[in-house]
Amino acid sequence: MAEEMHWGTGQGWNGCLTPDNCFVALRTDCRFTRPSGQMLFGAPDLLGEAQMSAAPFSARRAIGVVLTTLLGFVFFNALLGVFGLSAAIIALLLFISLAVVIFYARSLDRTQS
Amino acid sequence: MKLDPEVLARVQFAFTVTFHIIFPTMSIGLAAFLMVIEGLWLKTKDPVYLEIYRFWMGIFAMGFGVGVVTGIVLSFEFGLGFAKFAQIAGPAIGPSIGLEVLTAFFLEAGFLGIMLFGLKRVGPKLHFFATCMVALGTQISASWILSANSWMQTPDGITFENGRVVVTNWLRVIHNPSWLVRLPHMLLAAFITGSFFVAGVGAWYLLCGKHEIFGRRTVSLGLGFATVAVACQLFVGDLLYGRMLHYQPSKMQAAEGFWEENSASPAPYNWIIIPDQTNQRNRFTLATPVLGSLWLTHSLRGRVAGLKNTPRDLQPTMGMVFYGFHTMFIVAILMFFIVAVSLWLRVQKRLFSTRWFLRALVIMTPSGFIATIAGWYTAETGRQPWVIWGILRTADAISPVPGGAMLSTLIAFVVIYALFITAFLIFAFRMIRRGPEDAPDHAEASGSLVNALRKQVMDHVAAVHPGEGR
Repeated sequence: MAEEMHWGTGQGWNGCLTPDNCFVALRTDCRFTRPSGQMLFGAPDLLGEAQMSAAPFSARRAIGVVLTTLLGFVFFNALLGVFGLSAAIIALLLFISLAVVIFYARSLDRTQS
Repeated sequence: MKLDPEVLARVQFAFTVTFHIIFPTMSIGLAAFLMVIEGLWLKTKDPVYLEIYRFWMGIFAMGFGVGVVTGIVLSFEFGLGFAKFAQIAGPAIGPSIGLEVLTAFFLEAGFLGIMLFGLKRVGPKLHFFATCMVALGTQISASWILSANSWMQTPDGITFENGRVVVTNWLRVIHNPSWLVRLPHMLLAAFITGSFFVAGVGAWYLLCGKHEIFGRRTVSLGLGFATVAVACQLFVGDLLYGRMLHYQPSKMQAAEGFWEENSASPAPYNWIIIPDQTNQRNRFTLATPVLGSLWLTHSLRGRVAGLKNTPRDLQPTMGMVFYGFHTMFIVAILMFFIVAVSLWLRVQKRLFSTRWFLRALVIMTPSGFIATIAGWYTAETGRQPWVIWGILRTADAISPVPGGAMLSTLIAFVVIYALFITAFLIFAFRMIRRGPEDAPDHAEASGSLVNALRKQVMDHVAAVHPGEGR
């Protein structure tokens, strides 16, 4: 597939001088395209970023963000021992279990490529 | 101007150890990462894992080499700048450092060659065993060094005879009160450093649209390791805080930026201070109410002890300790935020498409190094004015050499280390910019000059006449 892709300011890297220009990539929105102009990286149909960005603000999503933030804050404090050593050990085991479950449940090759 | 040999000796050691610690931290983290990657490759036979392994092995090898060279200097500096320390504490410190060479260096030296050059020369299981041994060696090395340094923080198992340390119980020298908490703290720091380094490079590839499969896998694995390690680190960090509060109260008093013997109740958490050591107060304080009691005493109304509890001549310099500790802690908070968000994005299936997050990962690439250096600054400046806590002051440990001589060696070290770090950065950036497809094939290019030349010729033919030569 690499041969099908074109690098350059005109047809591949919008705004980037070279593919190796790392800091430009951080500042600008580099897009990787086929010669036809179809986006491969960052394309809405493949990765869904634009769809997420364009999605209307919903109360459900806001509640989700707030609850997740609170959960993260509680975990952070629990790990720091604010609620005692036993709670810290439980929080640590819970956090690691949660991370492992999410890691395996969302195996990246299956869900995101 | 009079050159103070004590200040220069301390600056020299601080400078060399700051540069040195970058490389062992990276080596420990990357060796463990490589061990897991090779294990996954053996289990799944997925060539992407092999690609990841080969790419990171090159950077690991460079870091390992520079780490060994910059570390050797530190041993000589005991004699160069701290001869009295070496004379007094040598009987306790010397064997730990000697055992590091005997156990860790020999193990690493025996298997490093197989790891770097044996991918196509030995069987995969033997190669995996070599990688495991190198990873184990880096951790054994850290164990001995942490044991020696922890003994300087919390000395145990010795008595004094004729002005020299005499060991009465070796087990207590090695297994001193802070070692078992400081060792996991340092090992986790190394794993986190390696994880964020790996994830940051992978995120950069994804942002640039290069090596996408490689980038995804490294971001995913790097963040996976980091998630577990950061959570463990917060837990272990709090245990260590409690341990050091017990054994070195002045260090933790300085780290939190409180002066009064007892703070207000509830105590605020200081984020920024301008300390005035002479007048024993802060000129400026930016703090969050109640958080100090919550985080430091684990209660809503607990009071925090300040540095005035320690006699003035035994106080460390608050500014250095405070900002060392807070740099480490703030970076840890950022790391926790990153790994927590990564879990959320993974659930949402947006881990690789959220550009602000990938940019944040790239920015966080050196975060582990920053936190590790800041942590060591806290440990070492917080121990002052002692070089061996409660036993030997730093001022009494300095070599009887003139300040000019110390300055000249300091300048020499600055020049040499600048060359090392520049060379490392140039080659590391070059390797990262090239990416995994151009990672050097150690198995082919090494050992045999004919093989290396043949590879060069084949590469040239392939470049000039695509489709031929391979």
